[in-house]
Amino acid sequence: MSKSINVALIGNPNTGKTSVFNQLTGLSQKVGNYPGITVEKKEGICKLSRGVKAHILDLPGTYSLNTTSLDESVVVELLLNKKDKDFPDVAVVVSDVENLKRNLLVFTQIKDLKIPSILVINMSDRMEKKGISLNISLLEELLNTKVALISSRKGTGIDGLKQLIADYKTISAEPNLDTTVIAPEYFEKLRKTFPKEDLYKLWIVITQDVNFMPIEKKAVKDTSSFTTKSKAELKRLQQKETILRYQFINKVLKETYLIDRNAAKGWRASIDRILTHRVFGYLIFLFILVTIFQAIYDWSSYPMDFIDAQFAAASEWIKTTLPPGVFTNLLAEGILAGIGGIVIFIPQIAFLFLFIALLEESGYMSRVVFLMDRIMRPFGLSGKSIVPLISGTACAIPAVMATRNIENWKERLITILVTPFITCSARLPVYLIIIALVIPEGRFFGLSYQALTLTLLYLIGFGAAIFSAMILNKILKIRSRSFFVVEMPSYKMPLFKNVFYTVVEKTKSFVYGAGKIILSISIVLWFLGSNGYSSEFNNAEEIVTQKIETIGFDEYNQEQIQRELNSYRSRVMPEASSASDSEMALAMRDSIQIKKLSLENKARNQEIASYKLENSYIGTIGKAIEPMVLPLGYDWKIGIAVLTSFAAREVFVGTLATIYSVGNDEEETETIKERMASEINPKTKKSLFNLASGISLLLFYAFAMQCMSTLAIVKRETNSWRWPIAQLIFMSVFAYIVALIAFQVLK
Amino acid sequence: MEVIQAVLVYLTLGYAVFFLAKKYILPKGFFGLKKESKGSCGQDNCGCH
Repeated sequence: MSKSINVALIGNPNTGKTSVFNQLTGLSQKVGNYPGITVEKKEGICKLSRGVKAHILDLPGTYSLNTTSLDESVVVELLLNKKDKDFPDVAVVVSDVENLKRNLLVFTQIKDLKIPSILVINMSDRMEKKGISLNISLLEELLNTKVALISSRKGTGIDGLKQLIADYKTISAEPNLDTTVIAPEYFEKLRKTFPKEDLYKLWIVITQDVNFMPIEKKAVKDTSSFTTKSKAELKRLQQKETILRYQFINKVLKETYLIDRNAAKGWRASIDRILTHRVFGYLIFLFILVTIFQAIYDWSSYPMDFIDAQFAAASEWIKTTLPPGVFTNLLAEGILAGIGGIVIFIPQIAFLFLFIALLEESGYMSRVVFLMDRIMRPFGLSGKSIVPLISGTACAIPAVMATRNIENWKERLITILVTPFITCSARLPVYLIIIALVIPEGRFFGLSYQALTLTLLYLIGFGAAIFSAMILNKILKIRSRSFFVVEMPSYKMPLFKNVFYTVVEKTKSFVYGAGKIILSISIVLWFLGSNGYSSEFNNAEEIVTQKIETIGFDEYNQEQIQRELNSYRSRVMPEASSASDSEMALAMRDSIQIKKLSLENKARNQEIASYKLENSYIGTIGKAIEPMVLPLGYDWKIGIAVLTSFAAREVFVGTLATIYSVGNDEEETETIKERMASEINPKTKKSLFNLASGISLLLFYAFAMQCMSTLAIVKRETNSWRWPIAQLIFMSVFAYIVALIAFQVLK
Repeated sequence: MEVIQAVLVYLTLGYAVFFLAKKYILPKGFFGLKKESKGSCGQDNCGCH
């Protein structure tokens, strides 16, 4: 029977913990949340020698066990609870060779909890460049542990680390320090009151807000025989403990760690000066953003066109191959159209995630955080808010969760409330399809208008976020102090493997997460669009045929028939008139007659399908809400798409694709874009997606809170319905007003 | 064949409606669905607010 070892990956942020995790687990990873709280939990399996498996848990980055935020306390909570199913058999503490002194603080604390711990010294490939030399065997001896010198980027030392994990039973669980020396009397009293408990564990429980079963902080406070110290006294003792630890670490490193400053080749400071410059820093960031969006457009157009055409062909294939019937229609018009509406955006979303991963991996993102701190301060936010705001470009849900590392409640609340303004990947499909329909394809200084529009929308989202933050900062009367410390990691060449995993994982979760919702909504919409209760729906064919016979086709269809017929005639008539053979000329005229009949038949089918759709269940609902969306330049079909996309924004395109598929009785293969482009506003008889209605839609989606999951997560994070409801009302009303003004001005 | 197709449509529709209801409408724990675990968040000492 195979055994499994529980391994906890712990370490400071930016030590390459995730790279080590990826190296150990490969693609056998699972991402979830810790029970009861929404801090991301990454787990994976690592195969060791002799059929042994290690269950690797990647814990949130923490600088010490004296936690200040909730995601950090996840680490402490796990390390204190032996009954937890994930309690580690061995802790793997990842450190960065350039910041070993700071990284060893948490290592010594974990060691003092009597958990066998392996010290991983990562980024060994940088040692030569930085003039660093290490005496590993002496370090092992002084820290009473095993050390693995690795480079997760180059993949060196990983096998050795696996071997150390497999042999974890040989690693000492003895503590490094005796913490009781910081307050001997106090710890003596503690020992007498809780004779069965480990003193360092008790100390951790007392000094922070985590539960340690079976003894809770409350229980310690309530024990009459033991008087705990005041908060200020405890803080002083914590500081004494930290000093004691650093004294120990300094002593160890003095004997084992050497830096030859002359050998170090550093260009980092010069680059930092440029990238974080007051003017050039922002210009470079803007340039990078524009380049990214330009690349997203240029590179993804080919795979997107290919996917779009494949879905159109597959829909056609289903209609012609499977036996005719309602289920075949559901497959072709409902399911396939809905899925196609999301799959088509995979290339662009993957490119977006690719660029974000490259910026993060290279170390540039930390410089952006530093740059943004200057901008954020006057608006009541700190540089720490930029991390959730940048995460918000992928999805607002993890971004709202990421606010947990903001200690200041006011800053955290403001960040939670403004993050949904940031352009998330769910907005991308809506933007891309509307931009493609209403913004011309020309270029300005080599940059396409479409890419510039997309950049502008991202900037509008960011602007809306900081503008709202400024208002909230003035309105919210919460007193608080804040500080901001950001670590600037070294510049690194992004590692292909890490970038690949990030892109695959994020794209997969977007497609699967959104895909299930879109598929379900598409099925319901197809049903509502293909069925109706009224006599108009049931007798649509007779009613429309009778109308055509009495008053003729719709004005638009008449013009369309005439236009196409003229075009056909101009092509065949020269041949007919020049034909010497009168029979040939007659045949040409007949062909024009046949063409006319075919065009009329097409128009009849179109009018019947359109009439049925208007009188279907969905048409009835759409017509009911049409008065609300008409002033924004939308028809009832767009109104339905706006309504259904309240669940999730990306549903918008899938909904329109489904509605237009149901309302399109043609047998010709048409892509989603073509269907949308050919939609005509029945009132104006002009294209429905024009500049005015398109800009109105883009602005509506830039500001509207169209995501139920985000509302749920905001409720959870703020522990009240008050904030998500206020957020929903404010964002929706604001979006409506801006979209209304945009349409009325541009129409 | 028509009957089979109609049955398939209603089965698919039923599943889609159930999925959406489970995701957005029904409370957690309804029909024996997974209950929301009672973690530290939301309590006085949860540290989130």
